[in-house]
Amino acid sequence: MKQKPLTMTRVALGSLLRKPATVPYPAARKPVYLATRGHIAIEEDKCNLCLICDRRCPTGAIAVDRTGKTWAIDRLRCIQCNHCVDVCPRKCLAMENDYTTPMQMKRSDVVPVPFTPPQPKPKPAAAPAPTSDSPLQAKEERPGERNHEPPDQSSAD
Amino acid sequence: MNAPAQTYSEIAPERLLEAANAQRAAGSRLVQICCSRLQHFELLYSFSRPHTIEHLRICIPDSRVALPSISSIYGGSFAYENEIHDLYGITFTGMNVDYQGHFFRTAIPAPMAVPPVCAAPAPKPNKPQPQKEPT
Amino acid sequence: MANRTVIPFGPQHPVLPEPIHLDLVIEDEHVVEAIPSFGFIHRGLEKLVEKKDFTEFTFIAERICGICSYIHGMGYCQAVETVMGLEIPERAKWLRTMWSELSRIHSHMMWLGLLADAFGFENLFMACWRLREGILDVIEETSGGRVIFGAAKVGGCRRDVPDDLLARIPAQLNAVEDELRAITNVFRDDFSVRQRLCGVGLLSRNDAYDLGAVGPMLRASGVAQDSRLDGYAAYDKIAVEPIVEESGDCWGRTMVRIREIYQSFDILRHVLPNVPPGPVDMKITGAPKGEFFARLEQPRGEVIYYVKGNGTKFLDRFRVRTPTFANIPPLLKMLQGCQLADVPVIVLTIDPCISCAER
Repeated sequence: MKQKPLTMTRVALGSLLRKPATVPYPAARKPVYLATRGHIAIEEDKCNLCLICDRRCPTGAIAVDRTGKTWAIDRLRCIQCNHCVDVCPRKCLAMENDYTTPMQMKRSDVVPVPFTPPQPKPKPAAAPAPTSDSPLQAKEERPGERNHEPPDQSSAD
Repeated sequence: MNAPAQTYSEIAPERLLEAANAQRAAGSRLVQICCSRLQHFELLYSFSRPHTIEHLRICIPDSRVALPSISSIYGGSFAYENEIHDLYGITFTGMNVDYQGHFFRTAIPAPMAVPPVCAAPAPKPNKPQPQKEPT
Repeated sequence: MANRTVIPFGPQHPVLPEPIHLDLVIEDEHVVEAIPSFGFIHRGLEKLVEKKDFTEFTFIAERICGICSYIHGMGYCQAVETVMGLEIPERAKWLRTMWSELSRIHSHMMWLGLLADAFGFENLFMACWRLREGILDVIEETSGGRVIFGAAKVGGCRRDVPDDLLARIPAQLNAVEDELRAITNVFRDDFSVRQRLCGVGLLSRNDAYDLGAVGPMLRASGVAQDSRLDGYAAYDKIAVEPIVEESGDCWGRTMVRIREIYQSFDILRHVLPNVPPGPVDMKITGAPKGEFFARLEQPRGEVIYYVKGNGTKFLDRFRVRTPTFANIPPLLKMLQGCQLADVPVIVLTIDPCISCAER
């Protein structure tokens, strides 16, 4: 087969005349698609602190605190797998298609959740008490609760 | 799906070389060697020809049993054998390239030689039944 | 006899993007022997399967490798589905085929860039990677991720692709393909590229077969072996012709991969209009019991997934034999007798992915 010199010239000249293939990032951003997995967002009004996202998250990025009534996500651990969105029984989690801004220090995004568990109705003492239909009451307390406090040390750079 | 038929046959460790020779004579390609740590150690040698895959299963009770290396028959098997040696601690005799345990540099020697941790499912904890009236 | 010198090569090396360490025994600029060692990034993913629910392990299986992520996830799911005796919906099979071919194109285009980088052709490297963005955009638009698709699931696909989007993709692919012609012509014809690739890293047909080479390595040495012929996913309804070159050198392997890119474009043009309507997902009940070897064709070659289930949610054993691992013995064979300056190019032509190989 024939060998040719300078075959790259056409490609290189084309690159010279073309607009840059990159975008100047903070000033301009690459368009996102409808399907892009950007970040997890929560509608805190619908959340009932059921802990399912916390337990099923493959990387343990989500931490739900039932006593403090907060839902927290460590964006650096989240792998955008969409699993929490799939398993959420109240459909309060959503995968937004834009990315969060880069962080300057490691921290969790903590969202307060205004949820008050319904008070169980008083029952006659003789009847066996049924299990509450609220997942908050039905689920056992997790043995090792993760630390929800954001780490106080900021990174050096 | 016209996937090739897969056959599994169990052979004794002594007959491994003989079986590998037969595969070689039949023109098979060594696809892989896989070691599994169950309650015993189980090795699966896979050979493939067009339209068939044959798996030879060898069970050994513990990792102290040395196996003959098939690298004199299939030259590329040393990678699998060294991997199994480094991860499971099984010794192969007569490897054509023997790394003496330095192929995979793992922090713990033979890290995968421990039996499965969750072989049986943990019994589901019963839902806490409130015994008394909630106060 | 000349003095022998041992040159340590890697795991951190300017031309070696992967953490493999090679001790090169050198005699007069010629490599006499290469001794590899691994384990810098061994993560024990195969052991992790014992602690994870088998459906949730898909997320880990997808992340075995960053480049061929989709086929890892899909191969795992396919192995589990076969053990459980599931027949996934037809649309899911076609979508899986589409994503497999997209990942093959983007992997090969990335590899072409890396190869250009390995022999010092920076401009060509940039040109390949700029074009690859066009494929990554298609992947992101259909699956939501640029390289981690997140679309595989035991029992089908995790997301559906709207039909109007499927109809739009061929035009995008054609645009990439047109621009790609100019770049692959450089690989095929350019004087300096051929000087670096032709006759380097020869692997004979017998050596390739005996040492267990897979994928483009094996096909560049003249063996027509392609796991897509087994007809997994929708490949039983698509004619796939294995692409074979006879030369067995680095140039032959480059040509196999370049022709595979165009073949994948052809397959996609056939797949996209033919994706049948219907569900993409099925409900799974029970747990896998039994064992199965799934064999798929990754961009880098044949990959094996072994799943052994015991009837619980936790698998007993999950094994991946990645193509890079199978290509290590042929690599050592090729390195014997080569020039020291050719080592990066030869290592690159097996398309090494050491993080796959170590799991």
